[in-house]
Amino acid sequence: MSATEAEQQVKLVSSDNVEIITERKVAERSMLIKNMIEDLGAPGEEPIPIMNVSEAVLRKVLEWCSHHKNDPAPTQDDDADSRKKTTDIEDWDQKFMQVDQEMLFEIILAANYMDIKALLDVGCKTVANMIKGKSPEEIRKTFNIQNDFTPEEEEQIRRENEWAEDR
Amino acid sequence: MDRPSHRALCIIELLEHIFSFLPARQLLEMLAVCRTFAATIVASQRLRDMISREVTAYELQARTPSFPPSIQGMHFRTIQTKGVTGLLAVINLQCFDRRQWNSLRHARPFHRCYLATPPPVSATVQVDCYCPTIRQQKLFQRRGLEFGLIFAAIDALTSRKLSCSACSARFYVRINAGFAVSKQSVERRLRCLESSSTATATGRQDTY
Repeated sequence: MSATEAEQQVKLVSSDNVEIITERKVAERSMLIKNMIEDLGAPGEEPIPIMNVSEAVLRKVLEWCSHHKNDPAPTQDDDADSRKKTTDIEDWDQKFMQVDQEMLFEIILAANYMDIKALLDVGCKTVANMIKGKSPEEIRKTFNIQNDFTPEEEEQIRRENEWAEDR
Repeated sequence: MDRPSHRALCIIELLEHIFSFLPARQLLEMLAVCRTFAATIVASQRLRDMISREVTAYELQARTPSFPPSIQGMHFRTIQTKGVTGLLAVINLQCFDRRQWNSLRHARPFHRCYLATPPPVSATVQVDCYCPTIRQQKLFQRRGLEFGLIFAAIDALTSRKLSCSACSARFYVRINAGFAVSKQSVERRLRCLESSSTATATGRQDTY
């Protein structure tokens, strides 16, 4: 991408029909937008619809993209490494993810839809960290999940996982 | 179901991605949360491998810093006994003398793991012991016995003491049967979930 291209502005339209103008370089952290710009050929003229993402979430996602706009593209090795440590989240990203749970999952869904792998990883790691060390009941409570096992199945699971408990 | 958390936690690919950042032990907990979580783990070869591999070798190494490196050569193989398929843990252990054993007593007591294992699991562990007493005897060394393996099949749930058949010395071996049982238990659980996802019957027991 040339310097001129990087400075170009693109117009995004959120699911609630709000136009947001941002730098092309920032927007192109999203592979979805990058591919759309390449397909459209004339960035800045045609607004790019981001169908599944509301204004509030899109602004939040663009905030992340703006902070990370100069990050190098991830390599295969980085990808394998990042998977090893759940707590390995940058300070800025940790603060960025200090939002309510619904916004956190909105960001994850948006990152998934907009194909921003690094943001998806940060979001999923944040959720994984929320899960770590919790019992099934605590996890259900945290994420408001219904227990749909029968009592017999629950008892069987409890017995079979008993060995893993420290006593 | 309109909540973003519910929408996200219903997408199998996202769940699998989140779970891939969890340690294997936590994945086991996730099996017990709800059917969607269990089905995601069961359907994912990657997560199943994480459980099988990490609960055994990784956890063993992580929790036994004081064990000699030889224990890390533990591997598993499938055995067939009386029509029952099980997993046999083959562990290369040092033969500890009393002093060494005492020094290891402060290590995390693994027996708590396998004593907590529910019946009818009876883990048979094949321990390949290397006896330092024999090593000191040149005669045996020449016969190539110093690195010879003394086979001892024991019931890991009841016995943790062995005698060396070559030198008759009593030695003490810390046997980590819990992981043989653990892996078996995990795999049985996964099989059970797999079959329950296709069968209508619920609450049935899979036994070896």
